[in-house]
Amino acid sequence: MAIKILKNISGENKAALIIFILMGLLPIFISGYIIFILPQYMLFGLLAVSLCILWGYSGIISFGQAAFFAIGAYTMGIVFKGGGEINPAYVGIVCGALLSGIVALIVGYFLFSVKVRSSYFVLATLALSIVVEQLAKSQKDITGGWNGLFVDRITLTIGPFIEYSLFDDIPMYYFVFFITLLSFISIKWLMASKFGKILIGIRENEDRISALGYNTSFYKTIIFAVSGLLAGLAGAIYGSHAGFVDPSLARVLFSTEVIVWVAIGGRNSLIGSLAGGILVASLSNYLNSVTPEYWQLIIGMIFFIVIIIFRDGLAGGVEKTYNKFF
Amino acid sequence: MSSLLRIENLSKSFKGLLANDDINMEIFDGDVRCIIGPNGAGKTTLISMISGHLKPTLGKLYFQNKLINKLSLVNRSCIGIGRKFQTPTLFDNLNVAQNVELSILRHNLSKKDILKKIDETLEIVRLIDKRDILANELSHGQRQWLEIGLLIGNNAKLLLLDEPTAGMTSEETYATTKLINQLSTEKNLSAIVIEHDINFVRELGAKITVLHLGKVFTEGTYNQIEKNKKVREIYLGKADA
Repeated sequence: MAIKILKNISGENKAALIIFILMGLLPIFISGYIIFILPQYMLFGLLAVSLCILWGYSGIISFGQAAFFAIGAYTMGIVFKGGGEINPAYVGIVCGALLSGIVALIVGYFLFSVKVRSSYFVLATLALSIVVEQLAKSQKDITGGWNGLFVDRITLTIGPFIEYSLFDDIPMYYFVFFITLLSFISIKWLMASKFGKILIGIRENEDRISALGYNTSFYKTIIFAVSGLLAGLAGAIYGSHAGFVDPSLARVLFSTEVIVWVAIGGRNSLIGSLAGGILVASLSNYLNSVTPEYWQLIIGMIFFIVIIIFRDGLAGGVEKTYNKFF
Repeated sequence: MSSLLRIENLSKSFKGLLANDDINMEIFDGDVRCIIGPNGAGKTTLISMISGHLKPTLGKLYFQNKLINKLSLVNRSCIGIGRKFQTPTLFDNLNVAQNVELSILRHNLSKKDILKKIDETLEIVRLIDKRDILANELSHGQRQWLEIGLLIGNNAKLLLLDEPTAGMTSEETYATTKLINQLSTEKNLSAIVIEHDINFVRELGAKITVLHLGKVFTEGTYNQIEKNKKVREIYLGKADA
């Protein structure tokens, strides 16, 4: 029975199942720094997924993912600084995600409704990163300027009596794990729906899909907003996990890193992008501690090698190898 | 029979060059109309104005007796004006069934009905045994049919077919005339067909409009047009020589 069910699951879903089971069981076997840092990389993985649905599915490349991540993270920081009656965890996460989503919706609406060409769209997203970074630096009273903001670990509450602090690493790990899982499943569902199929149509041939009666700027605006929402959600939780937000989060360099994660992981695959974000961020961290002078060079070389060998990133490579042997 | 498309005094100028000059035409439900004319006669310009890719400089377009001049390209496809481009425009990296599915998704059907309609459509355009093949692996003629299939799946009432038999073998060309006539008689669909291939035009047997220098030069059946000496001079004459 179980084997029968497994046979009916697509290769991509099998990979997702294996990755999530591994991540779910990991804290049983190891502890310490890896369990502390891995949630951060899961959030980077979500950030990579937020680019995958744009670049891989819809053919829209964005250099602005760091801006949305930063908007989420700063919202969390500002909510903590401001205090308030309601649990800042919920306010921070919901507002961080919503605010990013709304900014993306507005930017997307103006750019797509006037049918900006894709090369100019990339420049506009690049500018967005710079604008957010500059705002973070200059609005000292709100954002702390260069010094950034300190953020506490969030505490989950249900009603007035039940509290669950995410101060320790294991609770934080599982909280981020479940958010990642839920977000991944929701995005997977969205992309398999009619909406996702039309996005693929836009990527494949925009002239044809609009001549079939689909308003492409509507679909592009919505997916850009969803992407901003997801990046903002990841950013808000990142703020609480890292305990600190600063202007470097919005840097163009960080946006470029997201593109590298997705390209290495496989831009046509949601699980490939998620894994790309987690693996490359982990590897960067490891290489940085081993060879601080050369780690970026090594990542760059890996990027070239993967792109040359597998056009569809690691996900494409795994799929090809799997099909060869099974 | 009710009027599907009515064109009144339609003109289009590009920086002073009159590509279409005062064109009048009426297409009824189930009509097939063939438009011929030498290069630069304004055939594709006319189709582009009907599909909404170009805005007319002057004149009016009515679809089912409603003025559609201000309707966007997207909305024109929604009311049933479907265009097949001069070079087949498909979702190349998707398979044949996925291509047709994208044209059907607009109608909010259930999953079962979508699958049924994909099969029906592929049956009509003779691609049912190619459903799992990528669009860019089809022959040129099959690509043309698939694009017609997208228009059928999209529920187009008026098919604008810009050179539908370009790149086809004579056998495929013959099958295409049968397909267009079958759609007209069985499904009551109308079509405006631009073609250069005179064998196709004869086989199709539809009423012909000859465009020359942006104007309607003459109209008639194949036999009438073939006997018209002036048409021979501007078009067929050149082809003979």
